[in-house]
Formats: sequence, C-alpha cells, structure tokens
Amino acid sequence: MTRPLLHIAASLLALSLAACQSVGNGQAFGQSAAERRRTLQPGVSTREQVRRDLGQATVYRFADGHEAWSYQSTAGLPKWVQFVPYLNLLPIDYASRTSELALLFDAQGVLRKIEWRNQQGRGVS
Amino acid sequence: MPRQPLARHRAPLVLAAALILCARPHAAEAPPAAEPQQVEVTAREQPMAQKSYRDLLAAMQRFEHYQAAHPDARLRFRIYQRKDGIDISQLRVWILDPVDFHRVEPTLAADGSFTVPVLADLREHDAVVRTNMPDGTLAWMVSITRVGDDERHHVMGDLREACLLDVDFAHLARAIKPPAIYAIDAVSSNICTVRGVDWGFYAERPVFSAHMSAGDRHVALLSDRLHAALALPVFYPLVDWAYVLRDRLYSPPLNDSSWPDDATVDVVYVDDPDDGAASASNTPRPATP
Repeated sequence: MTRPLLHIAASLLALSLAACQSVGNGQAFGQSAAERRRTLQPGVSTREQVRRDLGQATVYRFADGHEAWSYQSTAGLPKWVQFVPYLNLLPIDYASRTSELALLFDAQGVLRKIEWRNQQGRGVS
Repeated sequence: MPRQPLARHRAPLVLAAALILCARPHAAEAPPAAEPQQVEVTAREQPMAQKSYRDLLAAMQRFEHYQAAHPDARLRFRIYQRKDGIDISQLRVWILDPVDFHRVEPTLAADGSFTVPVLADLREHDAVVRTNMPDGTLAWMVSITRVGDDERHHVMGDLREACLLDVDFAHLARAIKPPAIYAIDAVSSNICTVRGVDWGFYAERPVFSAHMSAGDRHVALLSDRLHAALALPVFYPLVDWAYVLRDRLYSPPLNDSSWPDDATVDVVYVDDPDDGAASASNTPRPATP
C-alpha cells in the first residue's frame, strides 16, 4: 500500500474510533426545556408523537406489549469495541461516555416512565 | 472447572439437523415400496431437567465462608420457567439416588427456590436433583439474598458471590463460555469480576430500570445492561434468558471494581407506579465523572 493510501486508511480508522454515535434524530439531547416538556409528558405523549419529535429509538418489546425506548449518544470510542474478542479485555473504552434517554410506553402506546442515564466507559457513572 | 454441557454438543446437533433437512427432497423422490413396511416405534421416556447433587453441596459448602462474614445472607437455588409449554405451578423437585432409587423431596417455595439437605449416602452415590419438567424447559440459578430485604433490592457482593457459586460450583445456569474463560477462571479468585465477563440476574417481574448506589453515587444502568439488549440471536439456544425470562433480565457490572461489594442494586419494574406528569426525571441528569 502506498503512503497516501496508508494515511487515508489511518485517518478513517481514527475518525471511526473517535466519532460520536447517536440514536434518533439527535433531538433527544438537543431540545430546550420547553420542547422537552411538550414532547415527554407521562400519561399523555404517545409513541408516534415521540418518534416524530426525537426520531426512531432502539426499542425493546416486552411480552405484555410494553415497550422500552432508548435514545443514546456516545462520545469517544464506539460501542462495538466492547464486543471485539480480546480487544474487549483491554481498558480502552474508558475514553467513551454514553448518555441515554430511556422511555417506557404501555401496551396502548402511551408514555409512562422517563429516565436519563449516563455511563463513563464500560462502567456506569 | 465450569462445564459447558449444551455448547459442547450443539454444533454436531445442528449439523445433524441440517443433514436431515437436506436429505428430505431425495427421500421424496424415491419410488414407493411395493409392500407397506411395518415400523415398530418404541416409546422412550423424555429426559427431565436435572442437576448434580454434589455440585449443589459444593456451592453450599463454599457459601459457608461468605455467610460467616455476612450472617444475614441466604443461599437458595432458584428454578425458573425457561420456555413456554409447561405449567410451572406443577413443578416438583427430588434428590434421586441412582443406586437404590430412593428419593428425597426438598420443600419448594412458591418462587421456585429450594435448598437441599446434606445427606452422606446421596453424596456418595452421586445423586441427581431431578424435576418433573422436560429438559430444556427450566432455568436454574444460584440466588443470594438478605433476610428481610425487599425482593427488588440486592447487594453487589451477594451478586458477585452468587455468580461465582454458579459458575465454579453449582453449574446451574446455561452460559456461553469460550475456551479462554477456563484459563482465566483457573487464575482468578472470582471469574465474575474479570473484565469481559458478564452475568445476568432475573428480577421477579419485567424490569424497566436498575439503579446502583454506593455512598453518594447513584446511577441507572444503561439499557445495554437490560434484557441482553446487545446479544446476538445466534447465541439464544445456548443461554437461559432468551425465551420467557428476557423481560426480567438485568446485568449489573460485577467486574467494575469501582463499585464496592456493599453497593446496592434496586430494580424498577415495568408495572411500578407511573411517573407523574410533572416528573422530576423529565430533565437530563448532569454528567458526573
């Protein structure tokens, strides 16, 4: 491989390792307080309204019809690093930070619970 | 050493199943036999879920050291419904002597937990702890709780000890154990606190959240640590949680040494009271180092 190609490959690798990842349209962590109060109203907001405002979440469906939605924003090393055999044994993921907005919808699609979470590296902070 | 009963035999089984499926079209093309063949089918007893009595005793013996330091800790063996298709309310458990076939029935609590008596003859005869449910339909786990604690409240040290007892002694839970685990286990005091090793627990009901606390530090686990959110479907047959138990699964970071053994884990159930319209949690929490 020629030197310019090596530089490009190294730059792409560094860029992918340092990139920010997010779920949704980015608004979960970018809304103003007023917008957030309007979007996230327990007992009122519906799945469709939240999807329209915050984009598509990562969804876990419970057997009884409840759904847990997750919007995450990760800065630093991407999460897939944790799942590469042997690479995951190294303490290299402590440079990353993840914030999460977790929502619980009931079987009728109405918002019931809201939780904000933060994690530093592999552990939780 | 931990055993890996399912994973070790899964590949040949899958291969055999694939070969059978591939052979079907050819069988269909074969000309019909001139005379109907008589085939004798012999009924065979379906294997029932069972574990080693000696392994349970080994876990109980190891637990004595832990209980000496934590007198209110209580060890139980738990049985959960792993798959649909059984009536778990009809579950029964026996310690079965394979030599003289006599059996002892431990008392099974309403939550599917039990302990076993220490019986020298059954230990000597390498008895089994057998259920009346088909093999593969149940999930077994070591459980350590504190007397008087709420069912949703747990202590990190108890969870770490329960994991150790399960992996190294009782051999109850199905888990994915790559070869490197055996080498790491041989040199570590607790395999469950090694980086790269994750272990899950089942709450009593479906879980929305799990909160950890130690001193002034209070956090909630990311969704990555709930319901095995990041697991690949290819591994489902090798684990217990992939079927009816998944809603109840949470995986606190046992290997994160920044959480002391007296840290606590409290789960929030899906059916807990809802957040109010003016919920204080409707605000991003500031990131804390």
